[in-house]
Amino acid sequence: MNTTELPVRPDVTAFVARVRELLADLPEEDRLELTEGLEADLTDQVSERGGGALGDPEAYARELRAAAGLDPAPRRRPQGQRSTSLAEQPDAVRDRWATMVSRPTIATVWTVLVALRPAWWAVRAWAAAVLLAVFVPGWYDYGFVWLPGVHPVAGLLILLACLAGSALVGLGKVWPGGRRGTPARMVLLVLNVAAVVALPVINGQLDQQSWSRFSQGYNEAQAGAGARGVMNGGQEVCNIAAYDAAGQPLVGVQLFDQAGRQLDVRCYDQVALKVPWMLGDVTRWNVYPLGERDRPARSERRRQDLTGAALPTPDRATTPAVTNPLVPVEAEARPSGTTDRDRGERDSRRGDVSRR
Amino acid sequence: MDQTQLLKGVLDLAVLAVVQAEDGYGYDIVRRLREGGLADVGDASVYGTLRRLYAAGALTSYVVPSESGPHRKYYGITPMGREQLARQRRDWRAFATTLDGLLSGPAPATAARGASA
Repeated sequence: MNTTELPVRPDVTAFVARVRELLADLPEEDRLELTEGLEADLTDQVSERGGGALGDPEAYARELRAAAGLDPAPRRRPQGQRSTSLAEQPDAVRDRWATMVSRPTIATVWTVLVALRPAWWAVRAWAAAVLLAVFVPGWYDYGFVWLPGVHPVAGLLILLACLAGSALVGLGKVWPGGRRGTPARMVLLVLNVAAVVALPVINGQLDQQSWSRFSQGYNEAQAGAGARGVMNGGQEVCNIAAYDAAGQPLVGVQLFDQAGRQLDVRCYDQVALKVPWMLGDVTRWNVYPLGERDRPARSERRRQDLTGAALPTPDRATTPAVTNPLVPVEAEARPSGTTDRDRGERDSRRGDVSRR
Repeated sequence: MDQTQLLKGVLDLAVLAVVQAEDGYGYDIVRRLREGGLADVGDASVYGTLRRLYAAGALTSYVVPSESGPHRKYYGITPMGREQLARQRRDWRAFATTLDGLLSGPAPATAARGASA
């Protein structure tokens, strides 16, 4: 009889692997001793009596332990005796968890996760800091440095305080960390669950904010770079300052392109920020310079109020007298050095507009 | 009475007796026990018992390698195992005799009590 050459069936292999897992709490030597040759024995048994001979691996492991005079599986309550008392429930859950993660396959992963525990303390501290930041006066849901919506220094202080608190609780030095009392454990559980729940919410809001800001910026850029408007050196043109050949500023210059279309200068919020020229009661946006408001007026009622609005003068424009061979010379025979007068004129123009 | 309950106390003895007859690997021993009449014996109980007897020094073990299948672990009895077997056999015989006596001769005690009442 050549019984040593039976191939091992996969269900036998799986069964033995499961039994080994269930014995994982035993010293390696005992475990090996107890399961060595088990594949061969079970293979024989299955080949004699069919796959049904395997049965329940947990019962099998229990029987193996009991017969070998080893401790019954530790840290596990019998099913019937499950405690319903609030004080013992955390222990029961913890025990079940400990048994689960003590399996060799999971144990390595679990060890790494345990080592990363301080990272969780930091993350939950951040969650707590964000929730605290909402109560800081002047909070607004914009901007993300340390914490969304508070001054970076205040945000940093809150975050540091929360980090210290979270770590101390994690190390069991501050209530409710490290206490065995039921209220403390419950509070800690609630806090941790709250942090877990809060994280995706916070994250989602930040995402949404940054997305809406991104899309807003994108749309503005699209609007600027799109079919509308005039570009100059890669930047959108928002207004045009016109001067005549002698360097005198011109007001009410109507501009058209080569095809006779009105030059359509448009920036973001053009209607709210600019005071257009009028043709009867129709607005004309190709007449320059456009008046500028110091504050956006986004409603019709606001646009009626012209306080602080003026025709602009560009900060850095230099306006020398220029010539063109196509223009007769007498047109440019005007005295130069008119800068002071120019300034005066512009200022008075600004006053005119304000008084309108 | 359930055979498994009775077996708990004497499985050591049964296993030692079977192994003394001839070395064997786990399932081989289970099979011999079942053929010998202990039909309900659980294989895990036998393997656990083998392991415990081995740890106590009553059994020796050796692995027989196999080219294509899993290795088999054979058990043999040691001098210490023989001693244990002899001792437990004596204990069992004495115990069995006592119990036989109890089971076959309860009449006088019952009668005496009945008479006194």
